[in-house]
Amino acid sequence: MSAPTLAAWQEAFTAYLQHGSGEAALSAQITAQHIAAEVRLDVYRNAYYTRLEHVLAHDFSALLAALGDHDFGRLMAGYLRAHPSTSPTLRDLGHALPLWLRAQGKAEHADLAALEWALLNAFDAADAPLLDQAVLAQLAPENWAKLSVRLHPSLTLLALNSNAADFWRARQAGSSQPALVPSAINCLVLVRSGQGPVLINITEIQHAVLACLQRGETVATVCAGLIGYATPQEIPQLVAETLARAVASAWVCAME
Amino acid sequence: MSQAVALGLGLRPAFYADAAQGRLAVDWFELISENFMVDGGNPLRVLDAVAERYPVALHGVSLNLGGSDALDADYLDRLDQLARRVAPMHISDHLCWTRHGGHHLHDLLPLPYTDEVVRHVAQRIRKVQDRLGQRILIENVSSYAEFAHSTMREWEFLAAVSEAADCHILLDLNNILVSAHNHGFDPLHYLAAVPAQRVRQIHLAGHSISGPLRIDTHDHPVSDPVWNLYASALRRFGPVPSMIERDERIPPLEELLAELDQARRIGAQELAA
Repeated sequence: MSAPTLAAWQEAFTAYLQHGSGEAALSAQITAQHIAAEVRLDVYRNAYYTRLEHVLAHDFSALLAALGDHDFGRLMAGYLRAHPSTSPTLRDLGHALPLWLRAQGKAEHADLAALEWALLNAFDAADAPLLDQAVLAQLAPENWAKLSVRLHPSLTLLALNSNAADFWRARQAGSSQPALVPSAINCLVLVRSGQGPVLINITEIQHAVLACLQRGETVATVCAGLIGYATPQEIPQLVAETLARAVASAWVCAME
Repeated sequence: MSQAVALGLGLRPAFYADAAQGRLAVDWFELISENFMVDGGNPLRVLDAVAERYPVALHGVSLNLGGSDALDADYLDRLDQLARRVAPMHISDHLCWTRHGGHHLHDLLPLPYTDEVVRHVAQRIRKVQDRLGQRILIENVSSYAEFAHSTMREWEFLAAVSEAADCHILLDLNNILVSAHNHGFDPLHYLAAVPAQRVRQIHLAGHSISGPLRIDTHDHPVSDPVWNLYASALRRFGPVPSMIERDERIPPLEELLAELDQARRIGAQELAA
């Protein structure tokens, strides 16, 4: 038998690790000596899923608590088959988990995963100086419309349709956690404050304003987008209040 | 008078705070490069504080030196940024492959030991060294499978790659023992074949046993056979910077410091002899 090329060998080994396929052909390429080739290969295959599931269990510990070991393991195996790692760092492994869980019909668990993913972002997002509150007070009225705002990189806006935030807070407090259930929309800001993350409730309108600003839209565009949510007379006041809260809460890095 | 071995520890989150404040009596720390390839926050604060107080080495797991995918330019840029930030005493990664078809497998996977693969890996190491502007260290990995078409043994492969790439070697003594058991060779024979002038760092670690195989879990104390091999290594290589590498089931810091004391005693004894 001729030796496969390095690329062909690695292709076959990767397929074996990820899908368990081609074990017999791979085994024929392995020196067995006193231990069967299949036993040797199994070490790599078992380690692949065990290691990655361990990382997800660490990064999504509340999700693990909500699902239990068995369901968590089953779901994570499915996730890893659908989303093999494409990043050199394991920190990024769970990036698609919230969306994937939602596609599996696990909406409340997807909310909890989204919250935990936001925590990870809050932990190691870029540092950025915060805007001095005096800047907002000094802003000339004629400049408001074209204003754009840069929110802190560690800030994630969440709009949950479940009690996932209550579940997470109860777990943080060491209290018994409620069963995850659907709920009316629950809007939150998750952001780094000092060394750690904080989770803060906001209104649906504030969420809409901040989401537009985070996308880089100007205040004028944000106001236009709110027509239908509030009367034209209320909109400037709502946007101004949201901006004031964001600046006072240290969520804003710059206004341009 | 003999020169003392510089003894280090793998930096793990359990003792970030103590290390960042310079409270640990170790000579240097080894950092996992990928853990600090982030945009900001606490990891970079810890990194800067530790690098300010101790010499540090950067140890990677995703360089994919033995892969057939192209080298990851973005990863190399981030590694270069990290190196510029902390001015490490060494930059190291593993003699293995870790990625294929764009998928990172997050394991240290075995290579066939052939002349063709020596040339392939050496050429990639040279590219990495050109990009980083310095020699890197390549580490021998534990393995559970060897390729039937290999034309040389692992120690010959390690020596050939390091010579062809003109790079240095990070010798993991636990990995030698694990592979020696799994493939039936004498670890002292391995040690004797390693080009001594290229060995710049030593890893000391523990392993576990699973059925007929020894597994490189790095979750146990350094075993007696590893300590014995360490004594032999110091006699052959001299006072090479050495460290305790514990990746899982991190014990209280006192236990790791006690292992460093044991390394210090062995160093004093062997280097004085």
